[in-house]
Amino acid sequence: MSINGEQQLKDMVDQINQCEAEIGRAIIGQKDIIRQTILAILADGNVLLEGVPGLGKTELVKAVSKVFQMSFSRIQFTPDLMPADVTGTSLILKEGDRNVFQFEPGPVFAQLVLADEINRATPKTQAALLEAMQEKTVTAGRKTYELPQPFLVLATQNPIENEGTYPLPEAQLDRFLFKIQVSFPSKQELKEILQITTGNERPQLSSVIAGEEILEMRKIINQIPVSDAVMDYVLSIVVATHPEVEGAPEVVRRYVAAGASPRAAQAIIKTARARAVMEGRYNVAFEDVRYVAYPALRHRLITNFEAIADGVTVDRIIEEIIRGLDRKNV
Amino acid sequence: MDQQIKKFVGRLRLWLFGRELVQDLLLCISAGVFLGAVLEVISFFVPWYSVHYWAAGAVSAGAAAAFILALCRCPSEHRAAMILDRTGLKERTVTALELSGDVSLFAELQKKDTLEKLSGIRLHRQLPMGITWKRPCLLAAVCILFTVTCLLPSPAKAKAKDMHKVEKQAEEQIEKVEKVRKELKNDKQAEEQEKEYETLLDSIQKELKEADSREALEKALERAGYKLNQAAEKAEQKDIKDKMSQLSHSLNPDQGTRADAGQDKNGKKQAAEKQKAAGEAQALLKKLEEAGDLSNLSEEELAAAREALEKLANMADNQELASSLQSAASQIASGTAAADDLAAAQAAVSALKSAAASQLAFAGGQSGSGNSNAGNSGSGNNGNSGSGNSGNGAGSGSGSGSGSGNGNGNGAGSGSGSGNGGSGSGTGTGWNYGSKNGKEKDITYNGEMVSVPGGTGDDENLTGRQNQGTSYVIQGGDSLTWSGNSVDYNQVIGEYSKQALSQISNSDYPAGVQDIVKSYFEELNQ
Repeated sequence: MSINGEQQLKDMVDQINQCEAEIGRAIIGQKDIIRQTILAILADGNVLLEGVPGLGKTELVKAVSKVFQMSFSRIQFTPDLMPADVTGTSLILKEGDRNVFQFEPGPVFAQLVLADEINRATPKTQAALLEAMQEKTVTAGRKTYELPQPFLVLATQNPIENEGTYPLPEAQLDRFLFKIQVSFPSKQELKEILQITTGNERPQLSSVIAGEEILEMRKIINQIPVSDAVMDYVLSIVVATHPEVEGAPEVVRRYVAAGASPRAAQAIIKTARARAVMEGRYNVAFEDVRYVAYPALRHRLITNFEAIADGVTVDRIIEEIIRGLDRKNV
Repeated sequence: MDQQIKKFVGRLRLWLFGRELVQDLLLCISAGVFLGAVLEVISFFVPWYSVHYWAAGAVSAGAAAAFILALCRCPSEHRAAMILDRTGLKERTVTALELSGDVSLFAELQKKDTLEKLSGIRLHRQLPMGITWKRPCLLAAVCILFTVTCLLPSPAKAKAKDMHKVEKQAEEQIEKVEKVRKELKNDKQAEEQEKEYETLLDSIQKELKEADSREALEKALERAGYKLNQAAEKAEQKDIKDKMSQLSHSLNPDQGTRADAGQDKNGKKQAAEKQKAAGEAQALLKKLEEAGDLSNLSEEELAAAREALEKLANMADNQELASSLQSAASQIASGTAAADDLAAAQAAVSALKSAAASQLAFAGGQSGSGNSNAGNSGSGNNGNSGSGNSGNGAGSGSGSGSGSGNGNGNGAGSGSGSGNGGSGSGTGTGWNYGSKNGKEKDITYNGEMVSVPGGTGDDENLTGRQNQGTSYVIQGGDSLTWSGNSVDYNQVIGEYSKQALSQISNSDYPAGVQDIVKSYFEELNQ
């Protein structure tokens, strides 16, 4: 897809909005979850979905793969899952007179990978995803294999079951563009979910955008201008998450152990651009930044024991940071 | 598109400046007016003439501060764009500004989108002036307060006005002095005494500058007049003399009369000469009358009488008298003067003499009143003298009070004091003349003479029986001696000074005059 004019861009926006609507047919409520997931896809990022079981996380990923017309594979992470089970393994095959190694791609070789309950696998297996998530490649033996494009990992994890789980290390968490918290649906939404899922008829989703189109969209989105003011705003937010920085908000100094990495700023800018396009704008606004700051920073801020003791959530810390900056700007 | 966006942002900046200015003006002018009101309140208690100007200055300063403040706070293009974006433009304007000059597709699209949005912007709606009722109300309240404080009268305000007038007067007088100073500087004749005049004028200017009340100014002007008169008297060049006199007169017209007193000295001298000539003429005429027939007289005697009458005729101011005397002189010269002619000539001479006496009395009175009342002692000293001519003195007093009487009496030396010397209303000058003339008087008293210095001359002081014999009561006033006796100057000057100073301080004479009298006696005592 190439952009020749305003109309084409509008068409792109329409397509994205159609995707959102289509996914919304399968996932009742959870509009923000859907939107944030689309934003991550458009911004070329991986998503960590966190929520209690049964909230439709897997369903969401399936719907996304369908609507975006992407190849889909699911990996159920368990403690005995091995890295090769994820990336693939080299098999010895007889080829004529001799035996040769042949790489058999694992489930990670898909455009959309669902890493279900990722925190149940051992860190070694979790780490097997690192290269795939960041470099979009898999190295087996001495050979590196490129993953199909567009590629993204949608991982899920259960926040309440800690026994037998292996919390994701910071390095791996940082590879996720967004951490989206899937909340419990409202009563009305739940009713609709029941009506849809307990009947014989399931909504048939149609593909709206092909995977290749997503790549084009990403190129377009990356051209959306970001003003210095907005860029400064993003940087201010990220810097403010560091308790060691002079002028850091009190809430950060008190409750944050480690601040966000530069990847956080990249994530915010990329997803804010995508949101601007979804909003039909040709520039990034502060409100775009505010919107994406939560999922982009949520998993990148490491809170200390005091925050846990005081019940201070990361979202609250982010909120305080943004509020403080907005006060300054006014 | 870039230009259009910048133009809009320029308009936006102007609007924001105006908005800030209005807000700041309301606040700063309120502060200025309040400060003005405070100053006005201060002027209730402290004389402060220029308080209105200061109050106006405070308001102006408030307005200026508002303007400067608004100017300082006038947002930059970037800031203005940010402010506008807050109204719902979602950073479109600021991004468009930053994309100025960028011709890429997205930049163009973004700017186009921004312009579309800006076209729907109405600044007065999106960014209203935001004037709440509070500020106008505050301004109105402080304005009312200011007006009330302005209009309320107070003694301090009245005093301030008066002081201002005094300052203005002082400035005017200083300018006059300055003008004379310049004239003297350019005057080559005054080169020799330039420094002296410079010092004099400096001191006058300094005194005028230091005058902080009407009384002080009057005092300073009087002193200045006195000094200038003295300088005028001392001055050798007529031009300088005139300048000093004119300056003295312009500084203090009242005081200027004292300058005339100096001139009166000359008039007095002339009058005295006239009187003397008249006396001589009278004596000659008497001789002619006694001779009965002019032929009995020698040529020299007739010539002397003629000359005396002609001289007197020349001296006469009155044309009629002059012609009468001239006529008499020619008749005497021709030997045709009859007894009636001689009587007429005698009358004319008497009239002339009387006029001269009047002139003397007037001059004495003027100088007396112009100087100080120290003359009371002098007049008292010899007020008793020459009662025979008191008619002259009293008559020619020109209604100027006792001073003139004394002056006349003393000056003429003909005893015109008529005993009112005790009144103590004479002046220093009079005193001088008085004491001098008193000594010159030669009156022979018959009978008992009692002098009661400071007394009232009551009969009870007499040792003889009342209404029997001849006695004279000399009402000596405050004098320490009586006529005919002389006392050493050093013995009396102290007492006279004391009396004079005591009297003047109890009188209503202007402070400047009092100063002059005091300085006069201080000089005498030195």
